[in-house]
Amino acid sequence: MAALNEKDSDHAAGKELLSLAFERSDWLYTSDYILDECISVAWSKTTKLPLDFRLSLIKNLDDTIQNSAKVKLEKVNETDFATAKVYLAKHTRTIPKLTDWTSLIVMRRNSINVILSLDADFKKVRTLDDFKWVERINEPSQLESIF
Amino acid sequence: MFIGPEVKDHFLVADSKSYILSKPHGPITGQRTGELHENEPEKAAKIKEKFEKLLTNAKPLEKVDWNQDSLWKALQKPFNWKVDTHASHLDEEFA
Repeated sequence: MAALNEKDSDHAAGKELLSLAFERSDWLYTSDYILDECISVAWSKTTKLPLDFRLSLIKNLDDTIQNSAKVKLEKVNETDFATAKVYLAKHTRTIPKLTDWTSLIVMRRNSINVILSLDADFKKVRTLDDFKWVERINEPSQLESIF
Repeated sequence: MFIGPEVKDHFLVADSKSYILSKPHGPITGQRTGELHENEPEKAAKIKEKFEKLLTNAKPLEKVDWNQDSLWKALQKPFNWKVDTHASHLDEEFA
């Protein structure tokens, strides 16, 4: 969201990070839950704006992700969801959001160990034995050392 | 990935006699409209022929022009959401 929304406080950092990742990697992955969350935020944060604008914003966001040949949209399955809930219940203090746990479980299932996120919780997750492999990238310089 | 010419109208052939014509529409979520044409076998056959031609003439896309990618274009010219969506402001709203 930070990369795609000009008004986001972290827009400059998000845009630089995602642009570099786009150039350096063959594929970028996200999940249907993340797209759902982005659309929900776009909708809930714009309640005071005209309906036409809100609808065009959502369409723009959906088209951006779904039409991109670079982005693979992973589907969260029943096992991912159940596993994420178990981790959330067990490690709420490490990561308190179900969507974040779901992303980690989908990453693990697909052998993806790098996550682009400005959210520091993904750094904390490395303190858990099951998630020591998670490489959280929040600065372009970190990305340069990987690709 | 295969790419072919962009087609203005969208057709759905129901059977050899009937088809549905859907015109381009605005960004209205969840709404689809179209015209149902019943018992028009000649037109339905022509549309079917057009589909077959599209499939035959489609060529595999061997080289992607990344400058035309929807995500890349969105990053070059970001949409103005008119509100800050910084993660620190979100928790209280979803609570």
